Amino acid sequence: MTSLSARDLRLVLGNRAVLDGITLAVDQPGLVGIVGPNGAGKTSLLRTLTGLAKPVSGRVELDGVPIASLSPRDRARRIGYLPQTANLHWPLTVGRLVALGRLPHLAPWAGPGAGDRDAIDRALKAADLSALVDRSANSLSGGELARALLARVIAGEPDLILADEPVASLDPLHQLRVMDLFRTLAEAGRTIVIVLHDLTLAVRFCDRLVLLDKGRIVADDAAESVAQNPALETTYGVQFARPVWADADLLVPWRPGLGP
Amino acid sequence: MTSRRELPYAWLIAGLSLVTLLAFLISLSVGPAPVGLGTLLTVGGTPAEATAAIIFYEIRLPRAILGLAIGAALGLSGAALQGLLRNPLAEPGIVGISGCAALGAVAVFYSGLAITWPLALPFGGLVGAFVAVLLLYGLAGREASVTTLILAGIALSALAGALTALALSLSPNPFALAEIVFWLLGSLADRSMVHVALAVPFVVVGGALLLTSGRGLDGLSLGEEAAQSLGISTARLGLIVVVGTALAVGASVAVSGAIGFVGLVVPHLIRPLVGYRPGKLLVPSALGGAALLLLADSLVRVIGTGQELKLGVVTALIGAPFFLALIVSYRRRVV
Repeated sequence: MTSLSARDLRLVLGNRAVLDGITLAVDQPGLVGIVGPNGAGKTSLLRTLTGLAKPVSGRVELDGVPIASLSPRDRARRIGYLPQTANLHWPLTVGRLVALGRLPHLAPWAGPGAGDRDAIDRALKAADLSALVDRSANSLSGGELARALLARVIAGEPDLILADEPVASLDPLHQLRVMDLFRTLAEAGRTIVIVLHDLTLAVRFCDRLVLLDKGRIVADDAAESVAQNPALETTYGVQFARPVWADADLLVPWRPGLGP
Repeated sequence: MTSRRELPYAWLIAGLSLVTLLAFLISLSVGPAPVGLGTLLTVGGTPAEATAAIIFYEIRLPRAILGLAIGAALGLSGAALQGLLRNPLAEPGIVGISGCAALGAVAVFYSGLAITWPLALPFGGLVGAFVAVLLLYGLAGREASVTTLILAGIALSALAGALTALALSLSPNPFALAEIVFWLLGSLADRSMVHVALAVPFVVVGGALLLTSGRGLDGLSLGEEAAQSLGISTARLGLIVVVGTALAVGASVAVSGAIGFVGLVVPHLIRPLVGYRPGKLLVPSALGGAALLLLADSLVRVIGTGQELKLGVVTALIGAPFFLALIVSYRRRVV
């Protein structure tokens, strides 16, 4: 069982504290959503948990070991990180793009072995990309590329996956597909932390939600409880209309004076 | 199939090695004196044969070795820099190394030291290249991001270019001016084994450094953040590529002058053949650069002009139109 914990994190960018007094423990398999308005520090929190951003105080521990003391390679094997922007600078094939996820596992100067190839195949299958293996990544649709980049993270078979707005640029069907994939991974025993903007998706798919505002945690609880928390409306500065569809809460943002 | 234009990697390496070997042999066998490879097989004591041996070992061989080493240095560092910057327009000149090496050599010309001690010239170039690396890291800091490194390199290039132009405009006499200008154009003519001994060790060490960057460059295809999350230290990768380029290209410019376009065009040509993988591009680019420079250097020796054409002029004359054609064909495919 992997546990990731952050104690009293403070991260400063420029002169501004983007994270302040964040204490958080993720120690059960499942899907944890990080939500909050723009500039709340969601991406900064994810980057700090990954070890990419160095907090000025406080620390992040992976199974009780400070993350800063792990070698970059060890850290990369255990934590998979999917950045917010879909970057792919060269038109690699889908198979080779996904294979990059095995980089931290390869011996020096060696190519992928049988175990690596199996992991790549499993990731391609999980992301439903097996048919596209030899396609050039620049001929993919946005949804396919998002799935390929996610498959790259899955191929590393990390204990923990941190993903920054993985569904932000996808159409509704692909949003549901990708969220369903995360759900499947979580049910298979992975621990997954994702940043989300769509609260309806967050409430429906996540086990637990962490609500951030101005670098601090406002609420951290089961998804349904956070959805009912009055702090949700004050944090976002909107009201939520809550029609019910198939027993699920839908959160439709509303603000008097904005819109017709 | 993967890509329509991709070749199996082993075949590509084998093919390029063969082309490079042929180019090396061609470079050994062309020149104003009728000394072919066959001459070497007839080992004898006649004065004509002795002259032929001298021409071969003292003139042709160093020139061919330098063509091989410098071409490989340019192709390899171009490929590594394009991977590091994730930009197909990057080339060894962009980090300011070539400019500073040239400035170092021009300073030696200017001081008159080159007349009393010919080897002062390559030494000046090497010193210029090392100063460039020190300045780059002084300017950009040790934890430099790739963008900082490039901006510092561009600033350094501009400064070196301005100082070179200053040296030219304040040149004491027209002969010195002509010497400097000709040297800046780049050439492999009249180089000796001493030049080989000066340049090749640096090219080998720098090239070895660059070859270790393959995996990091592959990871960098996903952007700096994703690469870091894959356990790649992008700051260290930048250091390896810049220092490797400084050693290999700095030493090359020091003995040959500035030779453009090889480092830009060769990785471009080969990239589709390796399926756009930056790590797999390194070795083929080194081979391709070596072959191209050896052939260009053979060409300048057979073109019948009064004075031998400068190698840098020929590579640009072939390279630039070729590059334009490449851009046009890209545009057709993309738009």
